[in-house]
Amino acid sequence: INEMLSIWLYGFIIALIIIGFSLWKWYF
Amino acid sequence: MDQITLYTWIGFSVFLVLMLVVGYLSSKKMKSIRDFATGGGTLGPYVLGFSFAATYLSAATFLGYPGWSYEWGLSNLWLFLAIIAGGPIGVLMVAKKVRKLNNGQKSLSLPDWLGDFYKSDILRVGTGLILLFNIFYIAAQFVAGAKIFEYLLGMSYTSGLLLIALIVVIYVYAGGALADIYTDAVQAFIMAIAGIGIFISGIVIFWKGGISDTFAGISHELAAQNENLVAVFNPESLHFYSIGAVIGAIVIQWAFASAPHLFNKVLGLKNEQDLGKMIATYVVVAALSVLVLFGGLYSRAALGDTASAADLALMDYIIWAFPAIVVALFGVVILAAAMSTTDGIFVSISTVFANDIFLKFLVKRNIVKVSDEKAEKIAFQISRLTVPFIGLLALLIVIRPPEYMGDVMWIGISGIAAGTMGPILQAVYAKRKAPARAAELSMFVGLGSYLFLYFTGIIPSTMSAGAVSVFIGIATINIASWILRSASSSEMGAAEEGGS
Repeated sequence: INEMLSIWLYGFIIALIIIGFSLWKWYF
Repeated sequence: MDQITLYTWIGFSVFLVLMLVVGYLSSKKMKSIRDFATGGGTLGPYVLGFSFAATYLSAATFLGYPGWSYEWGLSNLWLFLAIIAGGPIGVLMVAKKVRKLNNGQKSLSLPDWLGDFYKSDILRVGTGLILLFNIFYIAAQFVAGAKIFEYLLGMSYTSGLLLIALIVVIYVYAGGALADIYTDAVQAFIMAIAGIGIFISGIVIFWKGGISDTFAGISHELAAQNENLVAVFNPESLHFYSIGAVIGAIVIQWAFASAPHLFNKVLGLKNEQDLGKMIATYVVVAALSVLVLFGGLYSRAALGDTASAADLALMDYIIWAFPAIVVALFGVVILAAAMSTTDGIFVSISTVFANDIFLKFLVKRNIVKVSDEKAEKIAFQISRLTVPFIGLLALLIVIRPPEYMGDVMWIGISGIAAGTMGPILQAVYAKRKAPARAAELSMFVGLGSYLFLYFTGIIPSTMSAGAVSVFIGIATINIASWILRSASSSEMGAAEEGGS
């Protein structure tokens, strides 16, 4: 749609991937 | 409006009666169960994850953050990213470290933790006084309660403020039945449900046949009012006007999540995997709850710039979109959150005075000479007397309604972070323990630069001013440690070795 909504959507997805990966690597 | 007022009165009365009953029962015979509930021990990781998320989700965030969305549009979605990226990264980095550090150190509060770690009374008392910044946090919750009373029950702001302050102070005296891990968990659960509900309600109401068409429609409504409402950086925004301001928000969210005493809850967990489950739960719950800031965008798109105050824009939207019973329920949830959030902070501030400053400093150092038994009695009196005193101070701070309750809250959080992050991060991450003098200097310089930057208006955003000051505090402790070590090694002819 527009720049800010894209930043929000992709930023959210990237953040979840990074958090998921660190959780897996450090904790699980 | 009458129907809403009636439902709110009924809902809030039922809630208060329920609280009194629970408080009475728990003080009478459930003592051991409550001790069990607050002791960590064998609590499950999921319950802990929910209650950890509740630390970040207060009444003021629930009204204040959508208020920012309403005022400044899509750029406030940076806040969502800052909370989701900054907070969990802080938790992920600190949780494991603190678990290792804390095993030998049975400290319960931040002044205790830092005072013990650096063996410094200046740091203990100074951190205790810095925690008084939490009064701003309490004040913001009072505003949230007062606004709900004003809006749903038709009171004046001032009488709403007096009423919420009175209820909270009485509630704290009654022992705060809400103040334990289970009720925090329930609060977070309800807020996550409310966050999803509000997020989805807008999609349903603005539905245009597809998700992306729907959000394009909402964006179009916003852009028609003001182009800046759909900009990536809104020049009118107090918080997200540039990339620097965005980085500042992420940094301060990260700092807020790195406070070691928050991790007392973590110590009870059996193993690393449980810790991981707890963090994953917290991330999901926080993300769902923060979806509430879409409510402010929907309010602006549907109703335009008509709210009497930005902080009430979410309530305007809820009244417009939902039946009266839901509006009343939401109001009661906000009031309950205001009570449970402030209760914990009241208790922690009165502990600072009674325990950290009086018992562990004044009595222990023989500045006040009394017998142990008498000292305990005086400490109890001090913790009792500080409660109405703090309540009154918080009330006076917001006696004139602030423009944004979210900003009042962040004055408190940023001030604490600026004064304490240097010593905290050094304690958690540094290979060698910093000298106490360096930690003390970092506390004064960090706090001083925050007060200077924010209150002179050099940096208008509370979050950014806090972030810059956190960096200054961190730099101070590192530079001061290095200078002190060089000085002592050149005098002694050999570097001192400090373990961390």
